[in-house]
Amino acid sequence: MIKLEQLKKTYRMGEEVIHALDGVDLEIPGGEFLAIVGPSGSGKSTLLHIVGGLDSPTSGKVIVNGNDLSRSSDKELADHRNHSIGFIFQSFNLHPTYNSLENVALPLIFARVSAAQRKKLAWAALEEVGLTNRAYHKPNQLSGGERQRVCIARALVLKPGIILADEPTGNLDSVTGEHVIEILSGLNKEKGITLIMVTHNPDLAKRANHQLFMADGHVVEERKS
Amino acid sequence: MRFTDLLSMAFYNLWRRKLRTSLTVLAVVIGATLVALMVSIGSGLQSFIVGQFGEIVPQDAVIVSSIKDVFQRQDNSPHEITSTNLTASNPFTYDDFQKIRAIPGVVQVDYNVSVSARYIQPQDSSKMYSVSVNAAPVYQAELRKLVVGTDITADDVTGQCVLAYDYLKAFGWSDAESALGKQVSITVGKLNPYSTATQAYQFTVVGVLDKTMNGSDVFISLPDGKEMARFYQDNPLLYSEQQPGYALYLRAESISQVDSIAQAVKDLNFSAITPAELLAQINSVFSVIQIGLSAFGVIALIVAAIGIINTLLMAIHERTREIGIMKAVGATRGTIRIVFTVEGGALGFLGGIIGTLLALGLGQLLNFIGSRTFLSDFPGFKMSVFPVWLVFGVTALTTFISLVAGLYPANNAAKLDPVDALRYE
Repeated sequence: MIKLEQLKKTYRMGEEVIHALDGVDLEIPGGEFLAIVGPSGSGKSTLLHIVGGLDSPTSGKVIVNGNDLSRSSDKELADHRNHSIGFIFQSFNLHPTYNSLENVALPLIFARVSAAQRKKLAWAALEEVGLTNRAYHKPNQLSGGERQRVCIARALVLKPGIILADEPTGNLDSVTGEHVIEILSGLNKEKGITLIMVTHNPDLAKRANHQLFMADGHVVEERKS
Repeated sequence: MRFTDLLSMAFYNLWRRKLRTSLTVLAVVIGATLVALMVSIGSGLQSFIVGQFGEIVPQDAVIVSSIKDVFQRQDNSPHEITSTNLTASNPFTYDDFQKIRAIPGVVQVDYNVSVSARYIQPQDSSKMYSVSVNAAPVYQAELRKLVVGTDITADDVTGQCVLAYDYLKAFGWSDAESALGKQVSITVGKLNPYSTATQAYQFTVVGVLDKTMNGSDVFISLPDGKEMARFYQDNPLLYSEQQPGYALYLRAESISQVDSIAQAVKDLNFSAITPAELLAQINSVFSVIQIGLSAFGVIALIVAAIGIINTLLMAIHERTREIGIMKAVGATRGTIRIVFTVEGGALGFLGGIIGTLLALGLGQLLNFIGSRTFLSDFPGFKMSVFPVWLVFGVTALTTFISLVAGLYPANNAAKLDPVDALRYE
C-alpha cells in the first residue's frame, strides 16, 4: 500500500522556482498495476523517484508499507531502495564493466549477502527473465531487450513488493518492448508485485488497471478499471 | 556492505585503471621508499653508536662533575644563574670528595685523569706519532673489544698499554700478534708553554683494540696516567684526595643504585649523569636525525597524497553514473563514502608495501656495498637497519595518509544526488 498526501516537490533553477509536484494525493493498493502518463516535465518521474526513495519531497507525506519516507533517514531510504523497491530505467543503468550476473548481484552486496549466496540468487533471478545464457556477458554485448531483462532481474533479486519502471520500453523497438511489458505485467499478475510504470505511450497505459494522467505537477485525470 | 566485498570492489576499481593506479602508487612508493630507507640508515647509525657507547661506558658508572649544569644542553639565550660562585668553575675539594665517597652504594671513586701527551714512538724508531692517552679504571677499560692480548688487569699495574689497531699500520708492525710485548714510549711536555722539559714513559703493549674502535687511542693504567698528568701540570698533588679535579667516576655497587647515587650527587649541588641518561641523549639526537632524514620522504608522501586526491576525484567524475546505480539499488551515503575511502587507502597500502620492500632491498644493497668498501673496517656496522616497527610502520603511515587523502573525494561522492548521478552523461 502506497499513500501520497499533498506531495510537493519544488526545484530552484536560478531565479525560477519549478513545481515538479504541486500537491499530489494518491492511493495505490498493493498488487496494483499503475500507469502514469503525461508529457515531459509533468512530474511523473519525480513522483516515481520519491516513491522509490531516490528523491525526497519538499513537503507532504509518502507512506510506503506504513513508513513515511519523507521522515526517513538516508540509511532507511537506502534500505527501502534495496529491499522494498526494484527500479527499472529507460536507459537501463547497468554497471558497464560488470557482467549480467554481477549486475543482478549488485543489490545483494549492499544487503550483506555472502558471495556464494549472491551467485545463487542472481542466477535464479536471471532464470526468471530467461537470460542465464547471457549471464557472463557485459551490457555492451547485450541487445536492448536483453539489457532491460537484466534490469528486471536486478529489480527482482531481493524479492521486493514494488517495481518502479521509468519508461521501460522507451529505448526498445515495439516487439522487444512488448516482451518486456509482458514480463512486467506477468510479475504483477502472478506474484502480486505492485507495478508503477511511467510511460508516454497511451497503448501501454491501457494495460494497467489504474491510470494517472499528469500535467505540470498535478494529477489531471485518474482512471481505474 | 561486507568488508571483503569492500576490499574486492576497491581493488577491482583500481585494476580497471591500471596506468592511472600505477602512477599514483608510484608516487606513494617514492615517498615510502625514502622514508623507510632514511629511517633505516638513521637506525643503522644509531645502533652502531649505541653499540660503541656500550663498549665505552659501563652501566654501573656515574659521571660526576663539580660544575653545575655541565650535562645540560644550554642554549645561548639568557638563563638564570642560581649561585654567584658558579660563574667560575671550581674543582672538587677534599671535603667534596669525602662527601661523594660517603654516598651509599658508591664502591669506587676514580679521578677523571686527563693526560696530554705530545707523541708516541715505537721501539727502535725515532718517528713520532700523535696520540690520545686514556687512563681509565679497569672496570671501564675491560668493556673495550680487543683483537688480541689482554686488558690491563688491575688498577695498580704500571708500564702496560693497549693500543688502537691503527697504530699497527703506522708503526709498520705486520699483525696484531707481533705487537704484543713490544715497547712504545710516550712523551709528555709541560702545560707551561715556556718550559721545554719533557719526559718519556715506557710501556709494554699487552693488547690491541678491535678495528671498530678506530683512532689513535692508547689505554694505560690510572697510576701511570696520574704520574704523566702530574708532570705535565707540574703539580704533584693532582688527582689526589686534596685535588680531585673537576670530574669523577663513581662505581655503583649495583646498576639499580645508579639513579639514587646520581640523585645524591645532585643533592650535593654537583652535576651527575648516568649511562642511561647519556644514552637517552644520544637516542634523542638520533630521533632528530631520523626525522630530518625522513623529511624528504614525508614531503614526497604529501605530494603523493595530493595525487591520490586527484586520482579519486577523476574516478568519481568518471563513475558518477555508477555511484547513482549503487545508490538506486541500496547503497547508503556512508557506503559510497567508504568505497572511495578504501580505494584511496588501498593506493597508499600498495605504495607502502612496495616502497618498504624496495627500501629493504636498497638497504641490503647498501650494506653489501658498504661492507666491501667504505665500511670494511667496521665489521659490525650496517648502514641500513630495519627494526620490525619500521617495516609495518611505513605501510601503516602511507595507508593512513591516503585514507585521510581519500576522505574529501569520498565525501564528495557520498553527497552526490542519486537522481542527478543517474542522469549524468
